[in-house]
Amino acid sequence: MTENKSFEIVDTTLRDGEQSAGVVFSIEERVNIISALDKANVKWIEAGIPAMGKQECEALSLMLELPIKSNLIAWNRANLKDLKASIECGFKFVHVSLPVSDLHIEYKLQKSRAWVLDQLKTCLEYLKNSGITIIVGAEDASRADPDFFLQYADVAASYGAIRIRYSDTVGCLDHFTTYNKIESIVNRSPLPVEIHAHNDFGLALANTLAAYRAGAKFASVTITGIGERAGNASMEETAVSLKHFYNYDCGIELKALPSLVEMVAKASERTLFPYKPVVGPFTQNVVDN
Amino acid sequence: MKADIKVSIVDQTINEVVRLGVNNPADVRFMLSVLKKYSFDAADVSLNNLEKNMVEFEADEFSESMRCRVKCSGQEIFRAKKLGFSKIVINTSLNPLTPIQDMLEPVLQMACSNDQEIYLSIDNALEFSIRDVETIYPLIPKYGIKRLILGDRSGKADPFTTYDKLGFLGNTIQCPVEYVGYNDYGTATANTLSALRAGIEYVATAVSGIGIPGVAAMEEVLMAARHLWKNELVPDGYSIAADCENILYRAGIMLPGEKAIIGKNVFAHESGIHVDGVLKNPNLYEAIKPEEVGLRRLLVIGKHSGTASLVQKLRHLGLSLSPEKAAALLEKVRNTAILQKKPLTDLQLKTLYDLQMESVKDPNIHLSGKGEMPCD
Repeated sequence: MTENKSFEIVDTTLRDGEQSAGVVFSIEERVNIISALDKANVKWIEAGIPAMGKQECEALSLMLELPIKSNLIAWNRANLKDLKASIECGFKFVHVSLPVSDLHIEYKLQKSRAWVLDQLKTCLEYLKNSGITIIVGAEDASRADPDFFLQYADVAASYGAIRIRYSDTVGCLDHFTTYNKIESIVNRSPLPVEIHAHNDFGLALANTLAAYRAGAKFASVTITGIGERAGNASMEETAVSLKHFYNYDCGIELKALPSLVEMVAKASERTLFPYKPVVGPFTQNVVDN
Repeated sequence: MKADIKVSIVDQTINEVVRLGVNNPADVRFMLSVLKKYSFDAADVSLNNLEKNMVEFEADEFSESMRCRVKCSGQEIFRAKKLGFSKIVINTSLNPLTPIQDMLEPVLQMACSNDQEIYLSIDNALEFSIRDVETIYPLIPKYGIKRLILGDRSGKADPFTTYDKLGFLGNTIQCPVEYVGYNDYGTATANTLSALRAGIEYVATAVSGIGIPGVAAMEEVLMAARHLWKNELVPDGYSIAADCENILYRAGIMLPGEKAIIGKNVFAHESGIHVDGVLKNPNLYEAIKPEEVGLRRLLVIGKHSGTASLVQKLRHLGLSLSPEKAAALLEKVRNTAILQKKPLTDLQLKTLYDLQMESVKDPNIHLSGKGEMPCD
């Protein structure tokens, strides 16, 4: 393993976390969570989806006025209507997502690979000269042809995107496969790679660590691991594990994590499993180690 | 990799359940009968937990399938025998400054003379070099040690280091090897999969990873091996969610809805994009089918719903809606969910629908109390 010198945390508690079935955060809770994430030195926060409607846009505009250092990112499907909503909200960082697996392209979009590349171009063209920083997401990358992922990354790079997200959308990777896939991609990708792992087999953290070892530069995580279905990689386990296993400091204030966990558990109305690693009440508290 | 490696589970659930105070033999009997469906080799229970909670079940009944964990002490060996245990796990730790052989040998001799089946556990083995671990190799044939249990108590090894170390150790040890991965950092399942892939057949797990310290979750290890590695030797999981829940229920442990593999909500979908996808083809947003782990797919109507899920949900309720009206209704649905910080119940949705359609309520429509519906 070559030592990875840069691996930044991207929080998506308020986007993928809130997308978890049954969860709704109030505006006040969102403000509190963003402020706490900022205090914990989380540089990147995916704040929500402006395309969800007027009320959501108003809420997100409020978040953008908070006096914080963190960069707030708007998540978007790749269409101009969604992007317009993000721009009108006042976002300076936008995430544009399209699926890259043939399964998704055929059954969900009912389109072709060429259409996906064209659609990305159309969206990024629209954002050109807007002063907005672009992040591109590749949904279902773990089940996609790696060569197509790289073609997609090339388009993103040609429009100045700053990174590309590799999503294991259904959480079907183990850590060995993640390592091999990410390693083969980072060596050829024109953009830094962000790993976005889901926990369907309990492997989201291990896959995030595998991506770190393989040379990914960003990790998309949530507080408590809240997210679609079985959730995402948790920030607390990721940050503490990076420090513990690799002596890597990802910049997050570890001591701020227990209160963030408590805040998100309460806001999502989910009781913390007592045996939850790192922060569970039955668990040896390893945040300080 | 070899697709079909053999997986044998050494259960740690019962130990935790006993620690929590379950001392009814019927409960233990029930749990064992369930666990035996899942690549079961043995279940551990520590002498300390048995004695502390005054468990008085007849160990004879369980002696074939249970092992008693004791400290490296003649006293404890004796007490475990008195309780009727014939399989003994002797727990010890390596310490390079004080070789453990001198302390171990009298205890091993005693277990030998008792005719007990000996499992020797080195709970910090992965912290040490191969050379350090090798120092105990001569004891294996001398005392007929059945299996060497290698642990990583301080969680020093990540899943990749675990793979490397166990691959090497597994090849040099003259008896079968067992691995126990602890979950302080959240990597127990991955570490355990690494152990299996390194050729270690016997692994410690507990339902949902319970225990102090926590270990790998049985359901994750088995279903990952079965579905991610296509390992047909691992049993199917068609009743695994209910089985795990039943075990935890007897110990008074509530399983979180989002618990990987077995949580009730791991096949619940709310967001518009996901529901739209799942309705087109479930594989789009599910790695396995819900029935493969004995669960059901649920559609939840809430803040993140889209028109596709709304139309589908209403169809289940026997109602129809044009796309234009669906968009207007969706806004009301989202506003309600935001206001109440919860998804909508069927009754709430029906009320909003009625207002939208200005229609008369149909008394024949069945309305469940919960905002969930099965979606096939």
